[in-house]
Amino acid sequence: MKKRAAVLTAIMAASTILTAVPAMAEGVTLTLYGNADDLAKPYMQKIISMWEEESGNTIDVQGLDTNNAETIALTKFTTGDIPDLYIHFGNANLNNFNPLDNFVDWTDAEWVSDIQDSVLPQATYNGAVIGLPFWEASNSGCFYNKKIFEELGLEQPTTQAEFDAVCDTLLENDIQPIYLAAADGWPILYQFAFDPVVAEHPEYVEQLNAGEMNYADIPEITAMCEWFQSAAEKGYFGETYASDKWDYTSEVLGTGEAAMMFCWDTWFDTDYDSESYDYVGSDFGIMPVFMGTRDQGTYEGGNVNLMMANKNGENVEAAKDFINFMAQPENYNAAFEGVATAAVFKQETSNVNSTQYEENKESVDSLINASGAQPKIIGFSQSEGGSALLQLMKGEVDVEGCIKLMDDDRNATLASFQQE
Amino acid sequence: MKACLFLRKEKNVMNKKKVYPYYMLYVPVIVFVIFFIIPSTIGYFYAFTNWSAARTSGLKFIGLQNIIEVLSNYKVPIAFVNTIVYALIKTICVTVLGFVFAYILNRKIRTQTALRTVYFIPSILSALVVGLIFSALFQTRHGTINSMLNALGLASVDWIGSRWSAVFAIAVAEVWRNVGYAIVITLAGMQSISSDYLEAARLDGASEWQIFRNVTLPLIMPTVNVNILFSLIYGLKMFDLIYVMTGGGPGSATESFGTLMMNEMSAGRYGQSVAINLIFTIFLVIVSMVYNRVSSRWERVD
Repeated sequence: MKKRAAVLTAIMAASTILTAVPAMAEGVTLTLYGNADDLAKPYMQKIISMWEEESGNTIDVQGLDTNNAETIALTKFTTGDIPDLYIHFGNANLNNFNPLDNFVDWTDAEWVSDIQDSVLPQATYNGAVIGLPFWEASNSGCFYNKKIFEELGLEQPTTQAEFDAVCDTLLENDIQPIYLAAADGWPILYQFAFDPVVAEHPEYVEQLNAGEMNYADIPEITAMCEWFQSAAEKGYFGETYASDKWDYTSEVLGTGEAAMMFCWDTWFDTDYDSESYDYVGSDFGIMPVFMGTRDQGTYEGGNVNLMMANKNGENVEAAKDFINFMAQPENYNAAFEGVATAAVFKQETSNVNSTQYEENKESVDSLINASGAQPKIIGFSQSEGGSALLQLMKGEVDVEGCIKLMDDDRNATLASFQQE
Repeated sequence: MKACLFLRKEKNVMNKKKVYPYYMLYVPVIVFVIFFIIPSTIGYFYAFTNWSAARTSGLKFIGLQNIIEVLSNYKVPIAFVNTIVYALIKTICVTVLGFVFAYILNRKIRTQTALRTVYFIPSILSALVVGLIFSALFQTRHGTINSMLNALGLASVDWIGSRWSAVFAIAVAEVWRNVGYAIVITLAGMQSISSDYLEAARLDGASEWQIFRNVTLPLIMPTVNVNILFSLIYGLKMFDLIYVMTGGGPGSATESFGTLMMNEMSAGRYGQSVAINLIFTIFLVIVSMVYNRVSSRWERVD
């Protein structure tokens, strides 16, 4: 009996050791949360597999549903379910995630000096660098079908009046001037109109964030709303813009149903379906966005995603190791090999500029504004603002009412930060 | 005296029998209180605090501020009206269709079992699946319904592009999803009616309509009431289909209380989200109490 017990004990001990040893050898598994679409980017997958191969660790990538990613992540953070790694745009909404309490401060990291000066502010929160900007830096503007413009003898507009005249000519030729996926809210992309205003009046941001000013006090915002209202009335966005979704963008542009859209240049390389329709990605050019706020138009610079490490997590060292690995020039150059993007890092050389940017570099460089409204204005919401503008375009509210809706939502978020 | 004692004993025995079933309530009541009433009540406390995504600790009591802010939100009246419209369309259509189909299926037709299964299938589908099916049907571009209209030489309709057509599309999807459930419940009620009543009525020379109106309908009213109450409550609580089909849009046109709560959560304004939930719960309780009071009169069978 004793012998049998001893044998059993020995077998159990051996099996425990045998099962435990491989587990130790497998290394650490880091959890990474982020928007599913963002995490599916080829350069993101490449850098993850490169690190996994070199370190022997693994990353459990948990892509959150694109439309609800922020809500899901917020719920997880609030309930204490904070991943080892988190990816999020460096905008004002990052406030909700209490960056200074939750994420590693990289201010003294060596790689900080390698980040482009135009990008570094987006990685900075209250003076601390809280994440690595590892993303494609795109140029946003108004994209137009060059072939349609050529057939109709249209030139790139240089003023708001010329742009509206182009839209009128397209309408006369039974072509929808602009495809606006307003049903999704965010593709209205009205932040493009805000950027030059914020750049020219940095004091507006301070006053808005201090609760001392409203959108209603800014004449340019009224001008923007008036333009959207007038454009919808004239039919610049077609008849079904209220139910038009982003999913149809390739189809509508590719078939020539619409001639223009507000977008970003890297989209034509990463998402546009060049194979299924008459017009391919290179048939589209970039020109300034005219939304009523700046007569000569504007472009928007890149808005980058940050990779952040949970400073209170069990695997903080491994998470930091991963981010340091991403920041090595040889690694990010391998990941961004051939990707159409402006350089985020000073030593980034493997990326390529988009066709659209190369063709109209002078215009882009002269009129571009940094992404200012979204990262800086607390409570700025692409979807809620888009929803208010949609109601304006459909005639459910007037300009004053639309601005009030935007202000009410922004102020409610601002108050949720300020309540003591 | 003996007779009196006997009666008293009998009375005690009867009382015990009557009391006995209440013991059966203890476990479910305790579970309900611990896992639902207490957490919900504690949860509602947050409606009176400055809880937000940016402020998860050191919360402070701010009185009715969240409630006032929520009530001044322009979306609340829209959501209130939409919620009532969703609930009414769902309740009326599901109850009537459930009753009609159950009555037909109760006529001893050969394919009764197969048809019952077919009608019930939508009820087992998730809201996501049903939402995607009906989104495909009601799409403006390439939607099945618009393709059919075009084939008939009619113009496309922008179903999801304006308020009432979008509300209609959502309500149709919800009715389709729930009518099978109503059929099964109503059919079970009809099949539990003793054939003695029906035979007696026939012997008295009652017509089919008279039997339906004076025998079948009164006897299954408790079952129909269950259907109505469930449809009403779940209609008022509608969220998932709206979220999948329109996300509350275009603009805020199809918002319900459920999507409003979600929006506030998404914006990190947790206190206001709970405040909307609190207002909505009070509204639900009032509707349920009124309905119970009214429906109890319908169930009386003379």
